[in-house]
Amino acid sequence: MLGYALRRVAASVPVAFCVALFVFALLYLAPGDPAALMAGDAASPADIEKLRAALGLDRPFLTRFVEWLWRILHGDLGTSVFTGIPVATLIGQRVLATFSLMIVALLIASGIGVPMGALAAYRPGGAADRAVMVGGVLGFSVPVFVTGYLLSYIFAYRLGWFAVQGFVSPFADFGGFLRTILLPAASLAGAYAALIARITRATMLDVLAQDHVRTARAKGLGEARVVIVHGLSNAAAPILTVMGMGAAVLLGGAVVTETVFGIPGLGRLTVDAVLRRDYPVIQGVTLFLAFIFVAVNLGVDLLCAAIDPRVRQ
Amino acid sequence: MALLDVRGLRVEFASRSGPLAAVEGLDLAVAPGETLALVGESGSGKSVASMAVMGLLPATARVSGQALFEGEDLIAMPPAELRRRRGSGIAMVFQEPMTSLNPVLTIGRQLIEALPRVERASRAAARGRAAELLASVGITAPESRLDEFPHQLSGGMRQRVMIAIALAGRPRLIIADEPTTALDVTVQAQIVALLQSLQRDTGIAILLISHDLALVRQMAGRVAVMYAGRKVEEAAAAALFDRPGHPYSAGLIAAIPRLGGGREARLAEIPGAAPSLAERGPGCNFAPRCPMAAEVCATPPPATGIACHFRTEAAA
Repeated sequence: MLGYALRRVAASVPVAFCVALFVFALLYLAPGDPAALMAGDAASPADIEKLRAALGLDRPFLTRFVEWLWRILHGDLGTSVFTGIPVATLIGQRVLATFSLMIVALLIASGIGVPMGALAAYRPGGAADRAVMVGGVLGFSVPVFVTGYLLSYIFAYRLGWFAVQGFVSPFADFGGFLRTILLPAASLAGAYAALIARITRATMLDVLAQDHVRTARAKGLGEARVVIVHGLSNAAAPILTVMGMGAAVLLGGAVVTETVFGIPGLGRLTVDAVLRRDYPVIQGVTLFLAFIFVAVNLGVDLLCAAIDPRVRQ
Repeated sequence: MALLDVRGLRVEFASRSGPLAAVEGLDLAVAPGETLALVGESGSGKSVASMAVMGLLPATARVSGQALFEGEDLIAMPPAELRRRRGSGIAMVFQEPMTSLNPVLTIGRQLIEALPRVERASRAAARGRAAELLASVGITAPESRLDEFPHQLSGGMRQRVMIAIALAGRPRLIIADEPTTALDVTVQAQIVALLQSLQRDTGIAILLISHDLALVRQMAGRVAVMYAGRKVEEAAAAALFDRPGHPYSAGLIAAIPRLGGGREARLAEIPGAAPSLAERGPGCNFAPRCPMAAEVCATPPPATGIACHFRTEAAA
């Protein structure tokens, strides 16, 4: 297990490097001149040229990339050209809101998706199966901002059960945290729950038809134990893998959800930075989120190996 | 009284052209401590019949008739009642030791969950009993095997583990469905010897499902021959191998390869293939392949004794 973990961690390093290169190149190739933008309308071409030199934007791609990478390795993600605040500080201020949103959405999505998918596979064509089918289509096709505004209108504005906007730290006031986080997390969870339900159904259909499930029944085990212990233990690795890949759905959805519910998170930070062409912030946040994605999938792989001994071979 | 008494067992599967019977009117009786072999080609309904008795068929199968285990009908009883008899009354050993064990759980967990509740009460006692079971099926270093996973064991070892799991609930009957088919020849002999010694020691009854007549001859006291979903003959093993009654049984026995037959001696075979579920009719289903077939074979064969028109005439 330790050997597998070390190999898997080592394999993540080149992936992280490629991600960094990609993030850097993306903004390098993006249209628009950051120097001209930052200098403002009143600036003369000479001023812009000076600013460009000051920012180092006139130097070749590779030089800039290596420098950028070097600074990142030392924890320096750059400074926002708009606010003058270090990007690392900006991320630090907002990471809690985004992570809370994603974790609560993950809990909701897996709490609904896994049992529904398992039930659907247990009785194909039954009520749960049809619910997964319909819910799956709705979950995938209704955009986050529609569910978001709908939930917000019903449960926050009409019924007053939840806050309409904002975010409260779970460490400061847990009740307030739940009142602000549950609605956005629920709307973010929609597509993710649909994804989890579909993959759980497909995997469990396959697993429940396997010979060892028949052995479990022949031992006289109850159906709940057969499905949960013998079914899900075998289905866990594929389900977790898809959940890890699907974390991208959560990351992308978080941007929209934070805007709808006025949550001061990384998504909002990104949107604001894009609108202002605040390049260091865009690069920093994108890189940070990409690394989170790589880390999540590394964690998933290690978890799969812990559950399924065949993966460790 | 028979331990397991199957009467008029019928199993149907729904199809586009109406229900098709995989097993029709099967009667079987297994006495305590005996070995009854159920033989026949693939598709003859022998595995389906055993799964029906255990209630392990998919919900699409329609099972009727009776399967009295210690006097109580397994087919009529509620699922929860039947579940309590699985493992502790009747246990099963399956053909595929590769896939019949859960690949992600340790041998120990899979053994311990098959133990009766009282023996699972304490962790240490449960492990002790599990190790004891592994030792009883001839697995060395049983303590350390408990923490291994199925893929770390050989095929023969896995089948021993399957047998240990079957024994865990202290059943009175083991249904062994092709227990040696997937194993190497030398390992087959070991598993047979193991089953025989376990039977001597515990007095457990075995319903052996097999198409391997050499194995059946070695293990079974009595043999029931199935063809196309029906039992065509049942007799003491020695008598059957000596003087098979039904032409199908005779064909099967003639097809057993023999030592000393010489390289040139061509192996006897039964011409043609068994009819599919949809091709079966009310008459003798073996008639198209039978050397003795005549017009009378289009009518239903005798329902009792040997299911052949000619054999009953001879007997009468």
